[in-house]
Amino acid sequence: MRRHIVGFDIAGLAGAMFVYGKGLARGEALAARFPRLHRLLSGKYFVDELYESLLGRPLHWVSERIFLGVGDRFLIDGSLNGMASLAQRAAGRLSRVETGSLQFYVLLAVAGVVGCLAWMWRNG
Amino acid sequence: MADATLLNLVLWLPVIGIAVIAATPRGADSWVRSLSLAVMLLQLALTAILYVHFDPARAGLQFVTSRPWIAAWGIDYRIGLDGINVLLVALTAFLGPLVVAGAFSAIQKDVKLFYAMVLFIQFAMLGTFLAQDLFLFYVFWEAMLIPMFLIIGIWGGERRIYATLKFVLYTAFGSILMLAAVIYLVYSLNATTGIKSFAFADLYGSHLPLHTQMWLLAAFGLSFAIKVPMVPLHTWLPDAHVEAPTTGSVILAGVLLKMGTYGFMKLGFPLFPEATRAFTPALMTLAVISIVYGACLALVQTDIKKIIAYSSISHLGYVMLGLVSLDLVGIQGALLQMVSHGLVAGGLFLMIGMIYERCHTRDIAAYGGLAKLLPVYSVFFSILTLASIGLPTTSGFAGEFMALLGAFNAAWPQHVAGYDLPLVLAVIAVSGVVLGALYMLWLAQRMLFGPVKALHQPLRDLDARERAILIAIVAAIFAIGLYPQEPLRKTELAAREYQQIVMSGRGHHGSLP
Repeated sequence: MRRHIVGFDIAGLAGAMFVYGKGLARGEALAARFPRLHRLLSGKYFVDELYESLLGRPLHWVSERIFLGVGDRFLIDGSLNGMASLAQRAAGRLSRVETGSLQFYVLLAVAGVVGCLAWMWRNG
Repeated sequence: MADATLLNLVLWLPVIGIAVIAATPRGADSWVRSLSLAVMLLQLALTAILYVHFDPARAGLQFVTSRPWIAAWGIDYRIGLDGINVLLVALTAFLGPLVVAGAFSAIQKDVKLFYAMVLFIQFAMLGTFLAQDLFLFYVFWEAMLIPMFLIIGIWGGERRIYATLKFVLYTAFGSILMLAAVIYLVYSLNATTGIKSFAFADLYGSHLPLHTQMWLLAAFGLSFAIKVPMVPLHTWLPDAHVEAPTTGSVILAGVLLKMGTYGFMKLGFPLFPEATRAFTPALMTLAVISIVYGACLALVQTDIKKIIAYSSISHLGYVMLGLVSLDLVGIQGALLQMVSHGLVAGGLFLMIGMIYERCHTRDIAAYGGLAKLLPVYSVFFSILTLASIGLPTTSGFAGEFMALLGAFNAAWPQHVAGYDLPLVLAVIAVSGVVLGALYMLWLAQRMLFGPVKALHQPLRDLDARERAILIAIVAAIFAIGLYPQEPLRKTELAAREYQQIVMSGRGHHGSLP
């Protein structure tokens, strides 16, 4: 087993010496004769580009659009800011009870007293 | 020499500092700065004495002070160090002078108030860690909010009011539910056993029925989960970090986030062991979601501070993972990760503050080729990036690895018994390491390498003060990373105790020194 691996080393060394041993000329001639193979090898089998399109870009898209856009911004922050604005609007509506009109307040107070007396009379 | 009095001195020293600062005349800013730094350094020195004298072979609390406070309700002023909080107290004391020194050039208005707030929050944070009485704990827990509110709200960025209100309301909402749970817990203890006490040791290993425990754990857990922060209760953190001044961010990331995990470890889980065991799958799921979701969101940010904010969510997911694994390695890894994250995130935020002071932008697209312009800065930035990723020899590795190992240790027997969920979750959690490397390395590449972008030139590299701060942090990171046995030794007994209480639900009564 170890001999096979060393064999790969030696083969690689021999191949490099064959192609580039005497300058760049033979290397360029080989590149011209096998253009597609040359592109594949110098592109490192395009593994980086494969990873980028299979994993990198989808991950980025999902993280940005779904996790950030829908999850964080819309669902979580949206519900929080929504609750806050709900509280503000409710407070705005409820504050209309404060009319500032003394007559209205006295009327409410009298109604309250009458109600209390009625309840006490009803419940002994 | 090292005893309960020293611990009290460490805790109350910032308050003395505030009193002295309040007495300084207006405009004596450099006096205020020097004074604050002196107080923090003194506190660090005293804490170091306590740390060295902390006996790892003794179980239970050390340097305890226990005095009746509100005796009618059984509330004591009770503080002490144990294996769980000793590291966190050391972290807080260590970051104190760095935080103060880091703000020297950044804060120019209302300097007196600012340093008073920094000292106040230091006091509140230490009190939260040291408190051994539930009422005292709650008081300090709430006390932390006020100075943070002011620090973000006065010296923060553009949207500071929104961010600080969000932070306070979010946290306070959880705390109120926790208060209700505290009252119910103490009342029920009194009703069943006649003991009227708020002390932790009396409340551990609750004998309440499972149903009640689950509600109470949910109430406590909500408050702590907001602080950690756990997804989906995390959205206050990015806003708070971005709008806070550098000092605020360092305090927030360095110590405040650890409050949540400390709360879980010291209170939430040991107080309700049966409920914790029942909730473990849910907690583990949330922890893993935090790890992955936080990392994915960090990937797509354009603001440097937001990247580190989301990375904090991810890193603290590992802490939660280690805590719920109930495996000794996992628990100790969680503690180590707490300290490590405090150092690394604190350091990163300090560095972001330094570059912001020079270029006044946090947009990543504006930076490029910093390695050529600011070589010393880039070296420190790279070291902190690698520590954040969890490179071996840094503290980040020790914490993360142990937490994951603990998760696998806990998951494997369950897998063998046919229950696969924990194992699946642990495997997914490991992918968080890859994602962590992804966004941090990409950030470092965009900022430090590549073509030099037109920034405010000429940029001055780090001065002596900034170098001193960063050297201290990096030294601590490597010290823990290369020799984690030292901090872990001090935590071992406490970690075992925590594990025992949560796994067996046995009460802890009667071990008060």
